[in-house]
Amino acid sequence: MKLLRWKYVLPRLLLLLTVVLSIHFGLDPLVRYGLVVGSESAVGAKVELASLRSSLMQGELMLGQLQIANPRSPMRNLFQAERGRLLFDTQALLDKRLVVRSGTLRGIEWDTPRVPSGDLAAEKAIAGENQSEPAGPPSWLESGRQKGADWLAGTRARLEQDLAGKLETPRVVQQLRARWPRQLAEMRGRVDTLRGQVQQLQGQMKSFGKNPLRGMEQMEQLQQSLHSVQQELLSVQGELNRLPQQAGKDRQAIQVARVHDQKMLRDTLSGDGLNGEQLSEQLLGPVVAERLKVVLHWVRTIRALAPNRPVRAKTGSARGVDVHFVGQRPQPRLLVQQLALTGTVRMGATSTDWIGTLRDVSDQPSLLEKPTHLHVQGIGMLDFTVDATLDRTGVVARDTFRMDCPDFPLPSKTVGGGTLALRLDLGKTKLQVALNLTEDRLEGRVHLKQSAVRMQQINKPSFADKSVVAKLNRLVGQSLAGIEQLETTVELAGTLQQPAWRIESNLGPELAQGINQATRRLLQQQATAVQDSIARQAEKQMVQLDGQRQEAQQKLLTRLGDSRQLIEQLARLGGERGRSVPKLGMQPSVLKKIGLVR
Amino acid sequence: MVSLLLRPVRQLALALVANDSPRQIAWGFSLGMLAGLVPKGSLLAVSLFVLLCALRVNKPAGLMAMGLFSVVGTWLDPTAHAIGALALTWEPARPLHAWLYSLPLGPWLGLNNTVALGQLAIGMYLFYPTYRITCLLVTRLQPRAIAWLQRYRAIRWLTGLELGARLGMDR
Repeated sequence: MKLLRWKYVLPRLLLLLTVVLSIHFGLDPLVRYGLVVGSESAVGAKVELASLRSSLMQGELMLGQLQIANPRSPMRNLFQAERGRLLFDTQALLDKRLVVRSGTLRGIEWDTPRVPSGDLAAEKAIAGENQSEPAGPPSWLESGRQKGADWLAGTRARLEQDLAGKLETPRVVQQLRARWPRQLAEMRGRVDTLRGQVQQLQGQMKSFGKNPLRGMEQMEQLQQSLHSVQQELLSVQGELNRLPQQAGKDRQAIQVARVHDQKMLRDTLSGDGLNGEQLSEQLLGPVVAERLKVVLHWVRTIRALAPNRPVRAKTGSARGVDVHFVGQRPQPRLLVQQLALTGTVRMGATSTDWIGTLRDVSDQPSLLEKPTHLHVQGIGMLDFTVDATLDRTGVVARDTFRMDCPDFPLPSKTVGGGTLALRLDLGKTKLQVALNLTEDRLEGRVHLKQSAVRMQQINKPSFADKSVVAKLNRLVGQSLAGIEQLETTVELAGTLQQPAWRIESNLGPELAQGINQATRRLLQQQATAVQDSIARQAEKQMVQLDGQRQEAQQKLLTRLGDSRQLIEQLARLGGERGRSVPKLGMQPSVLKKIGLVR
Repeated sequence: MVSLLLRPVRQLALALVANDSPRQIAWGFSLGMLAGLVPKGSLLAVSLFVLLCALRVNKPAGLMAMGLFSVVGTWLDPTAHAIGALALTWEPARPLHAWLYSLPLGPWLGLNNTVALGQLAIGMYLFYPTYRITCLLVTRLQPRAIAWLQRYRAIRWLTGLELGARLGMDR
C-alpha cells in the first residue's frame, strides 16, 4: 500500500499552489485597482498609480509615482508624490474596508500640470480647457487691478486748476478800467455841448440886445433855452461833484470782490483732498487682488482633498440596496487615519521644503463623522504653518484655513499709476490668513505686516507746471519716508468665485495725510501769490484811475466854471420867467458887461 | 480559438452526451442556476462558482445554467429586491444577518444587499424543483438525445474536439 495517494493529493496540491500564486501575483493589481477606484471615488477625479507592492502579512503598501488629478482643474494634478508607504489594517480588509492607519508620502508637489485630463468623465474634458476657471482673469480681479490706475488724478486736478481765472477782483478792476474813461469822456462831451449851447445863447442874446423889439417873438424861446442850459449845467456840475463818491463806491466794490476771492481760496484750500481709506483701496487693491487669486487657488486646491461631490453614484451594474444593521455603525470604505507628508512648494519666487500631516481622509466623511485635517509646516527657506480643516460630515461643507508666515517673501510691487506710481519693496512680511468657508461663501481676514518697508516714487511728470511736480514729489517723498511700517488688513466676504474685500491699511491714511498737507501748502503758496499780485494790481489801477478822475474832474470843473458865470449873468438879465424883455434894454451897463453891447 | 468559439455548443452537447448521470447533470444545472441568479462581484457568487467547479457535478450544464440565469436574474431584480428587503428587515432574522455581517469576510459575502439576498432566496427556493425537473427531463431525454446526436458527424466531431481540447491539441 502506498503511503501517499498521489492521484488524490496532487490535484489538491496543484489547486493550493494555484491559489497561492494567484494571491502572490494577483493581489497587487487587485489592491491597486481597489485603491485607485476608492481614491477616485473620494476625490472625484482620476488617480494614477505607477506601481504598488503589497504585503498582506505586514499590512504594508509601497506606492510609486502617485498622481491625483484636481477635480476642479482636470489638466492639473492636485498633487503628485514620488513614493509612499502605507500601513493598513488587515482586519479591516475582511470588512471590505481599506483603513490606512499610518503612512508616509514623500516628494509631494502640489498643483503640477498633467496629461491626459484628470476628469473621470473624460469625454467631457477637452484638453487645455479649464472647466472651473474660465479663460482670462475674473471680473473681480480686473476691477481690483484698475483701482489704482490714476490715484493722484484728483490732486493733480486741484493743483492744475486756474486759480487766477476764478478770482473776482481782477474782473471788477477790469470793469472799472473800462468804465471810468468812458464816463469821463461822456462828461467831457456834455461840458463841451454845454459850452456850445452857452455860446449860442450868448450870440442870440447879442442880436436881441441890438434890436429888442424885433426879437420880441424869440424872447420866450430864449428864456426856455436859458432855463434848460441852466438845468444841464446843474446836472453836469452835480455829476462832477459826485465823482469822488463814485470812486469810493468803486473801492468798496473792489473790497467786496477781494473778500469773495479770499473765501474762494479758503474753500479751495480746505476742499476734499485724498481720502486715506480710499487711497489704501486704490493703492493696495491691485496687489490684494493678485495675492487673493493665489490664496483662493490654494484654498481650492486644498479643498479638493475632501470629497467635493457625493460619492460616485452606483453604476448600472450595481443592484439592490445595502442594509446596515442596528448596532453596526457604517464605516467609510476608504479611510486614511494619519499620513506624514513631505514635499516642496513654491511660494512666489521661493521654493521651500515642508513637512505635514494629513488626518482623517475618507471617501464618506459623513460616516466617519470627523473632519479632515491638514497641517503643513515649512522647514526650508521659508518658515510657515498652514492648518486646514475640511468638514464634510454634515450637509453643508464647512472649511477653515489658517496660515501663519512670519517672513513671507513678497516681491517688489508697483502700485498706483498715472502721474505718480510707487514701488513698494515689501521685503519680509508677516502674513496671517484666516478663512472660513461655508459651501462657497467666503469670510475671513488676511493680515500683512511689514516692519521695514521701503517705498520709492516712480514719476511720470505730466503736470503743466513742472515746478509743481518737483515740489509735490519732494513732499510725497517726505511723506513716504515717514512710513516705516506697513500694516494691512483685508476683510474678505463674498464667494470663492466672486470675492469682495475691504482694505484697512496705514499706507493710505499716512500717504494721504502727507500728500494733502503738501497739496495744501502748494495751494496756499499759489493762492497767496495770486492774491498779492491781484491786490497790487488792483491798488495800482485804482490809483491810476483816481488820478485820471481828479485831473479830468478839475479840468471839467474849470471849463464848466466859465460857462456857469456866463449863464448866471444871462439868467440875471433874463430875470425870472414872466419878466418883460425891455428890462434888458434899459440896463446898458449890464449888456455891455456881458458883451451884448459894445 | 476554434475551441473557444465552439465551447457553448460543445458544452450543450457534452451535457447531454457525457457519461455523467442525470443527477450530476441536474445538480450541475441547479448549482449553475443559483450561481447565475446571485449578483456577481460578491464572495457569495465566487463561493457558489467554486462549489460548482469543486463538486463532481456536470460542469457544462452548470455553466450553461449560470449564463442563462444571469440574464433571467436581472429580470427578477425587482422581485428579488422586495424579497431581500423583507428578509433583511424581518425582526427575528436581524440578529442572524447582523452576525453574518460581523463575521470576518462577512461584508464581502454581500448578504446585506437586498437583491443578493433576494436572488439567493429565489435560487434556493427554486433549487429543488429545478433539480427534480432537470433530473426527470435528463433521465427521459438523455438516451434519446444521445442516440439522435450521435447520428450526426458534427457531434462526433465536437466530441473528438473536446477530447482533443482536453489533451491540449488545440494549442
